[in-house]
Amino acid sequence: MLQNLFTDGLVIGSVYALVSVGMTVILGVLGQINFAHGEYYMAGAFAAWWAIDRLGLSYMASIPLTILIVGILSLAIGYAVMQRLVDVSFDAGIIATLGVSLLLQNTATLIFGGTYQIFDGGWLEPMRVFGEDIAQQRVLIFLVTLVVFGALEWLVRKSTFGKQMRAVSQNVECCHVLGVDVRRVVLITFILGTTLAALSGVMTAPITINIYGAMGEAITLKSFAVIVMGGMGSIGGTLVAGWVLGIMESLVAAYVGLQFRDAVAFALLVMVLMWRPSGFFSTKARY
Amino acid sequence: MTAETQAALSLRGVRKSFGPVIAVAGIDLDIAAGKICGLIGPNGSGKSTLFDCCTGLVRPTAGQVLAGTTDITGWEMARIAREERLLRSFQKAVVFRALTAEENLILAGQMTAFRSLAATFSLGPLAHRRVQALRARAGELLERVGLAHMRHSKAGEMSFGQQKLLQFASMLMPEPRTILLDEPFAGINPVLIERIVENIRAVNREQGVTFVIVEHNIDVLSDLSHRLVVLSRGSILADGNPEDVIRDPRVVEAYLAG
Repeated sequence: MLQNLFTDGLVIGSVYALVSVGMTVILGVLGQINFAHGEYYMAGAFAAWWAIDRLGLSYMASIPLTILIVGILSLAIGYAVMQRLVDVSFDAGIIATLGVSLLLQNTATLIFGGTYQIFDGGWLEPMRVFGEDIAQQRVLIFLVTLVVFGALEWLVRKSTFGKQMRAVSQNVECCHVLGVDVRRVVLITFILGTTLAALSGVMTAPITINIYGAMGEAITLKSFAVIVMGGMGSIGGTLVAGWVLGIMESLVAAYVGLQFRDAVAFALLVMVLMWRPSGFFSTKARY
Repeated sequence: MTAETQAALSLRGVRKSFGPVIAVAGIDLDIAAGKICGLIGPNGSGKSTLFDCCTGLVRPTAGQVLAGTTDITGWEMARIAREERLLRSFQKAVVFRALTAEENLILAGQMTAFRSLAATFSLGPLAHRRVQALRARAGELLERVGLAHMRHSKAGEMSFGQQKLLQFASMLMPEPRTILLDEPFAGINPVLIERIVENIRAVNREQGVTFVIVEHNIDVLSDLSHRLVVLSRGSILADGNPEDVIRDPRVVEAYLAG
């Protein structure tokens, strides 16, 4: 039982981590919280549903198509909205991204209707892992998350683009002086972050089954809690914070009550802000 | 000026007004390539606004700015730096405070280095060799500005003067054609001023980099510059050989009156 809860939590936590890391890299480079982040998760789930249900594609084929569709969507939004948020006040960023959130949610509701859609896809056959039966899809989510985080660490630490990302997050003015195309860095980072949310959406939809226009809201708020716990900008921290949240939710749902599950993120957020406001991994704790 | 190509930076009727206030009142100026040009004037004479117009921080109300033969009017600062290799410093030291001196320079070299998307996510030995080359160059430049011993010190822990030297060195990493310096000697002790002066001379002589320097320290500047331009109330008051310009009675009066 306990082991079961633990693996469940780890898989859901991987989903949270995969969504949140996009939010954290966008925050790092742009200095803005993307309050529409969950909407790209939703868009990913709907793009895949549309590809499977309407185009008759396989689940496998729907994944790259989803990335492409959400990539184009975030290219447009990145160009029209996010690039303009460099060097503007934090409030302007909140208003702008909340506006994008409303726009995307309502567009999805207009196109796909206000009711739940059933997502029919994915690999749900059980497989045996450490003496436990787990759906293949869940194992896949966990493995994809590990690969994505490894690749992101490498990208940020080693590649030239990663250096530019870090430079922009440290000192935009210095980047302007040296000729860094800050808006290009912002745009690429934004597309990267949102397509990771979309990937998470398409990977998770086979498990959650029901998809609907407002499904991103809770994800946005939980992602916010995760990136604060992870230390706002730390990639490894985000992964661990995602896992902690997933496992805590799973335990609370089983032992305290299902209705308390969605409160866990906020309870953890409050506790972190009280005791370790710089996140789990910071050396700075508040006593 | 015999041909367009000899000017590193040209202003054609550049005007800038902020509402009713005219900061720059229609300036025509050609800065010869490979020269050091000093720009002086009392406070409020339009020096900084002119710099801002040249480097894309403000858009001129009227007129054109050319880098070589390229019209850069209205371009953003980063694009001017990237495509025309025209860089500019500020009165404050703009450096990556959390990085070491060496990291600052390597980063400065990488900022503009890769243009294609494939190279942006650069892979393998090619990228590694490139970083090695940048590290070697960073070492030379730190040696040159006298910061070799602080190679691994965080920029944020350096003195203001050292940070300005570091900033100067990082502006040399992208192999600039023209550098605009905004009060490079302000707030710096005389020993470091001497070092910056020597470096400006050496870079100008060896690499042919054009300099335009705004500075209140007229003694140092007239000694360093090939040409001195004096601004007053947004217009050019005097222009020419530094020794002649500083003896010009109009210049003396403008400074005393200003």
